[in-house]
Amino acid sequence: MPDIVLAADNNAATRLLHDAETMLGTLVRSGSGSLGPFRADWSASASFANGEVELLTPNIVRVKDCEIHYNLSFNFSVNLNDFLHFCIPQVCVELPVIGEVCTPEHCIDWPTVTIPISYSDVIKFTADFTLNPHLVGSTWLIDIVIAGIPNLQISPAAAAIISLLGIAIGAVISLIPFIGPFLGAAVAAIVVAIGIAGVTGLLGPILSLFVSGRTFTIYRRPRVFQVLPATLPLDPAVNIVLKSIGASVKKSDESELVIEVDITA
Amino acid sequence: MNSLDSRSLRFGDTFTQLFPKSGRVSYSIDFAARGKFRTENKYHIEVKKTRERTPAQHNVVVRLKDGVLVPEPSSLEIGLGDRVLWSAADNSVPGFTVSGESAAGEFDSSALSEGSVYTHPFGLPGDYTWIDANGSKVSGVVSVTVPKLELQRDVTAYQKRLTTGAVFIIDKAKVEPSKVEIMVGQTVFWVIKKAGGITITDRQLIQQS
Amino acid sequence: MSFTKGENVFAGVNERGINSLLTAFFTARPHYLNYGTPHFAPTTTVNVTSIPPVSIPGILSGIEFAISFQIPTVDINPDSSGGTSPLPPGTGKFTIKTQVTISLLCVSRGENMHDVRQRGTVLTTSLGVFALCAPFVINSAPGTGEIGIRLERAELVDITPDALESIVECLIENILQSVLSNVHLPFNTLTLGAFGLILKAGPDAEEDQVKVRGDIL
Repeated sequence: MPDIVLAADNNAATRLLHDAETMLGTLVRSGSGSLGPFRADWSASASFANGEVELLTPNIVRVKDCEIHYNLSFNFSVNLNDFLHFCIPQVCVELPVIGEVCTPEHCIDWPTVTIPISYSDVIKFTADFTLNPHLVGSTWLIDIVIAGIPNLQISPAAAAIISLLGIAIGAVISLIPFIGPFLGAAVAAIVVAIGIAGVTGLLGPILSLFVSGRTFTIYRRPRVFQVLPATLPLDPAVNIVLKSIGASVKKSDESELVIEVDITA
Repeated sequence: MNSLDSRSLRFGDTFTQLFPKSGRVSYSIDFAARGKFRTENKYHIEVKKTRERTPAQHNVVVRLKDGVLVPEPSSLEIGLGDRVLWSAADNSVPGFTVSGESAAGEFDSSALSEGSVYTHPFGLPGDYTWIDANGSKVSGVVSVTVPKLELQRDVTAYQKRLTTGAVFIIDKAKVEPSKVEIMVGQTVFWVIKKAGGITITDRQLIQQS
Repeated sequence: MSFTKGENVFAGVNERGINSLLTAFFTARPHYLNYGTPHFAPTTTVNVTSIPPVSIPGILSGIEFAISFQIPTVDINPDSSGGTSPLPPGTGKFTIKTQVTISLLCVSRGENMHDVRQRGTVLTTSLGVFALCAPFVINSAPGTGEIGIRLERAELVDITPDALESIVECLIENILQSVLSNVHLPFNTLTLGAFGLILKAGPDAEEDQVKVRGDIL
């Protein structure tokens, strides 16, 4: 029999998960990726919250409806000449005194514009995690580690970003001279070029970065565990050593997360 | 490109000068940013006496080469009563002026006088009040709207509209009409019948400086 | 049957774990096991608690003595002694076993009755001590509560006559009660800091463990 046995039911394990999510805090990543035919530079932050634990033998912690709260900022550059071709034609006017004056045709060289986008959302996922107690240096950890990569339902977010794209592109290019009559067509053409697939192709890998290999630490204590702190000069701290820690899921009339610890003075 | 200011000719703008007398025309092309500074007139136009014929227009394209503004062609031979139109080759040409002297007198794109024409295409919607930066009372309004191109016939009508221009005629202190209405992309012509060196300048540019 | 039995969390420490905790406590703070009058302990230190001598007629400075306990070990219900323990742990109880060493400075006078110089010989004996105890809640504050040890009865072995045994048992029981009253086990130690405990059931001494159950803080 181990020296100390700890057990937590589904409810308590859910609380341990939520505490671990809070301890994890906000993760930040950045990089560049493909947004359809364009290259986008992005930065993203994500934090995890909620979710419900179901304990499954022998060592599975199934987390249902875990939330990823994320903020995504990205920008991409568009050479408008790839989407628009417009020339002001020759204009001939008969003028008094001067006679007929004809202006030459001149074709507009459209600029390359950078479109910034910011988007925030919450996405839920369900995944199995496995228990991993281990010693890192002089600290005992019990992690739950995600098994595989869950399927993230990002279609609603992709659709929302497509709408945002249209608005953002319009806002940036509307101030370009001569684009007024072609504004709607230009925005539509760029959005179509990107498409839902382009947005999904950018968003999916970014969110996967936060989820892939995801670990939550549900227990973290130094190997030398303080039982009582020092109080008076004659009463130094009282410590024990956590020699070994094991974690598993056991089922009798209910499933429980069981932690088994051997200690020594 | 879209700033309305005849003191600085940009890509899309043109300056036309009528040469009603024969003789040699000498002119220079200068960076508008240098203000009233003028280089030595080193380009020439020979205005030849010709038999009665319909006067013609000659186009000169101004390019930026090795940091210098150069006209192409650099010299011309034209007939009596012909006009010469200067325009920038592309967007890389910075704002410039054309100034010189002919048998009929001096001419300067930044101080328009008799026989000059300034054109400018409008790229953004709005109401533009133009005035003379040199202080005369001439002024007018250009009202620019954006066409709705929903159907093919709208596009066709718009393309046709682009080939027509609106005209202000300036005769001393009188401007006819006082207001023109155009669509984005259309060109407005200012023709000077008689004036003592005026500019066509967006009032907002004067107020901002 | 589940560990938590209808509550959310469970913590159980078995005999070996309790012994490790007692060893850690008394190794760090041995002055709770060792007591001596000024001859044996001139001043209280980490290792020993200085106590005043006992006044006795004829001995000016009083009786000098020392009492030391070995680090105790526990046997939690059910009895693991095979029936040899004089105080086997019943339901909800555990037995503490230790060794007490009593030292006495036996004073001798010089031939001159007024010679106040006192010389002496240290006499020492060791006795086995069994104490029947029960765990109890010192304070039940959520997350920061503590479990203590309540001594119910002590038994010494190998003292005759019985009346003398009873006198010595009374003395040792009182001293041992004081020793054990200093042993506090925080909830956080029972749970090893894995979760904050809101105590709902226990502490129970059964199946060779001290057990607590409750909600997670």
